[in-house]
Amino acid sequence: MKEDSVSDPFRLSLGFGSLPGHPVKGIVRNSWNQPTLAATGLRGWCCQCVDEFRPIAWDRIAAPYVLLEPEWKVWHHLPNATARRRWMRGRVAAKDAVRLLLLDCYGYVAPLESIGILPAEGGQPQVTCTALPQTRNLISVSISHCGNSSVALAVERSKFCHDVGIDVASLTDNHDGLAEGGFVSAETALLDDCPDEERPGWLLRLWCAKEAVGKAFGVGLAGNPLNHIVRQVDLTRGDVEIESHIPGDTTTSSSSITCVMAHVGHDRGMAFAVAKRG
Amino acid sequence: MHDVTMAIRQVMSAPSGTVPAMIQPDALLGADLGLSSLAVARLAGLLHKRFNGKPLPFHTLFVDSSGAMLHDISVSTLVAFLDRHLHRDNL
Repeated sequence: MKEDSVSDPFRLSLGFGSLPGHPVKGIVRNSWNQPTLAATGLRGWCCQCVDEFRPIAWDRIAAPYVLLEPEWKVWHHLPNATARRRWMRGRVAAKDAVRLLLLDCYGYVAPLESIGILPAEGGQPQVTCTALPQTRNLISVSISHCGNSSVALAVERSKFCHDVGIDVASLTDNHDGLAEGGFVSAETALLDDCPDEERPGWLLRLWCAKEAVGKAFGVGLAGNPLNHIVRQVDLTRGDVEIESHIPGDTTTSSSSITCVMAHVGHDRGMAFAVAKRG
Repeated sequence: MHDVTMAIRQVMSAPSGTVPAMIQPDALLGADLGLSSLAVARLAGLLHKRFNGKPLPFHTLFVDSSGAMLHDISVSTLVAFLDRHLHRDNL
């Protein structure tokens, strides 16, 4: 049975959907286009959002169908049921995004069981496709969670885009303290022209931009949100320029400074940001 | 400790969060309490405001004495951090 809308609950008991136009079973739902539209001019960005509404342990039932054995080992060792369900939701979203990307870029209908997404050494998700071994290093994927939703962004690597990051956060949650704990005054001052009622939402988008840039560089926030400083904001276009201090690898203690553009927006009650590392 | 646990409860009280009955000193902010990086930033902001905006070097909170980055810290580490940078009477 095909699931027609991303707003539908994850209907495990009704079976998995098919890739658009193909009879191969999977979990594919309609793609979540909003973040990819924000990053205009970039081809091959596939984004997926999976919501979870049912308070049942669906992940335990779905695991044998969704996870490869190495993934199952990671999932099984997570500390609690909440973490396992969240992790599973992220895999579902990521595998969907990768399968849509493979269909889009290669015309390849990837069976669900051929896609593996495991954490690499630094924790960032790494894609494997057993049916297309050459894709091992060709796809970058990023995952983010917000409440009962998980999103994933998959991109074909190129000389213009080596890695991507996506981050989402709930616009309806209380974010008191974020301005003081996540930013310096020069960053929040960039929102001085923003109407008061829109300011909290924009602050959250800027936070998502920092997280997305950190993910694109595979370093996250590195323990300090001020490793990624917001330098400019275009409130009309949703463009955010971030100056990132990237820690050196284990062979060097020096860090580098890079300026990166992130694209931000809001949809489905979430603020989101996407960023790429060229 | 009281100020820290109050602030932790505040950042965990979002609809998506579950607040435990007891917050143990050895609980890790991320692995045990499930705080996201956003929640940790909010926690730093709330503590900053709680102590009247006194500058606190939160950028060093996740760095150990050798300069290596820590992926997670315990509640007691956060309390000790504040203890080092504030007068004990305030805690």
